Amino acid sequence: MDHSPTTDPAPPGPLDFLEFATACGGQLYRTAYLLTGGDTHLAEDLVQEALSRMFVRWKRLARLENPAGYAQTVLVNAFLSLRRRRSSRERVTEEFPDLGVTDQDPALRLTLLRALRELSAADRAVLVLRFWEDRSVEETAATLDLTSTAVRSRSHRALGRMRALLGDTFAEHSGLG
Amino acid sequence: MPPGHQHPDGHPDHSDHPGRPDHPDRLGPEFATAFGQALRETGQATPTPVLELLATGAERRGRRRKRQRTVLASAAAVAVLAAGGAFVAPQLTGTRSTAAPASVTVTSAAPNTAATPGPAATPSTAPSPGTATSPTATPSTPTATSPTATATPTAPASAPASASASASAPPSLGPVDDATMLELFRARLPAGLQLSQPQSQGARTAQGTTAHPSSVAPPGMAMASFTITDGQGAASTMIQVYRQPVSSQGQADTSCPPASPPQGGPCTVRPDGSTLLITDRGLAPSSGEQFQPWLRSAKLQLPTGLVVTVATENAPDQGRAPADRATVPLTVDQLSSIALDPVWLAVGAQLPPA
Repeated sequence: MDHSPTTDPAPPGPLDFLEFATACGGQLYRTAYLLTGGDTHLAEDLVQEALSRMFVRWKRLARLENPAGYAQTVLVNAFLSLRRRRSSRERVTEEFPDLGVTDQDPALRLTLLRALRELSAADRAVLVLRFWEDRSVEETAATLDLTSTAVRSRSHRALGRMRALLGDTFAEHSGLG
Repeated sequence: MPPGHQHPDGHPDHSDHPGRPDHPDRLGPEFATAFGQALRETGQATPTPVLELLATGAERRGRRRKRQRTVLASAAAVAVLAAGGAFVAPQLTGTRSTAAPASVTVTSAAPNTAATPGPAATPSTAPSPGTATSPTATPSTPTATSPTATATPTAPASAPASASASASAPPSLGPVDDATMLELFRARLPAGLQLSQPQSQGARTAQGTTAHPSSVAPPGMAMASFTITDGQGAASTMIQVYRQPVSSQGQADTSCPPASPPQGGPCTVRPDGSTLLITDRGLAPSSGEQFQPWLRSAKLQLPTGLVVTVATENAPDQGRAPADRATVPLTVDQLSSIALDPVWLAVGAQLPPA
């Protein structure tokens, strides 16, 4: 078998949908998990909803430079759309989500998720995009169809709410207050 | 940075990183840093479901979506504005629905009649979401003299062929780019509204593979939207023009939904087989939301597959922000008149096939 490197590799073919969905599904799920404040069922539903929307247009979307980034945007929009429609699938629950085996601080995690659920959907999306997705203000604004000023304002307000809800918890765990 | 994420310019923008002490979200940089770290740890600690099953489930749902001909489902806005849902509004006179409205608005029933923006939406006379009112006039009535689906009772003069507009003779337009799409929509909105936060995607942008995370609409859709301010608060309006799949006979499904709530709604079957579906309903408010969110839309479905949806909500940001006023700023007549304008035929002609 010849393992020598080829000097003229064939160009990659179209990205297979299942391959793509499997590769980015985990990241999408984690984002959805945070967006929904820890609702595992709704998070899974949101990921499938976002990916299925992409499937319909996959021939075109597969040629995007960054389909995974686009998928994140579709996911956030699906979440906001779902919130607006107040779908019956959305569950209002105070139940704590299942704990992950890799949890090092389950109490902090549960408190954080519960605090996230206190935010409006749009504010939650801003925080998740900024602090989890690590998107800039401008990218967040483009994703949410907001102005940069609105993103900063929402982020500031949402962080203030989080501080009010989490201040004591964070002080206990990290010395902040 | 999570995998899959990439800055458009290829270079991470650390100048605006939320975790940095000098980031703009100043509410105590220590708290922002701690919050960001806790959020990342929470996300990373979350066990994921079996990804292969997740992927195959998404593919299965996508195939079902195709079969059901729910087109362009990659946008949350489509789900909100086009799919509708429960219809609790009063009836709009039509072949399917002839019941009188539960109450009558005092707003002018005369829809837009000019090339330039039509009569102002009188805020004080706009129907109240709480009372779910409907104009007394039906937008379809005048079309008795215009046998085609796209003839509007108040065709704007800007569309030269509008007086006898038909599916075979849409007004000619140059290439519809983002700015043109925005202006076409703006020109058909009532006068007297303060419009801001314009967003649009022209038919040209909707072509090909120009979809981008920052796109305001999915590929294949032309759209335009504004935030409306008229002294009573902020609201929004949007138009979407897209194609749904057609059968092997070249016909799209334009049937009205079942007449009984919650799926049913005021639906007018027009002489050419197109349908005009009205949605006019309240949404459950979020906690702390002062006003009940309200969605009102007119959706024209043509046998050719073209779909034109014009909608308004009593909240800015295309309804993503909390409701900011008691009423929506546009009447059913006004929305219908815009949706029936033949100019959207010309826009649709520049869209790629579904």
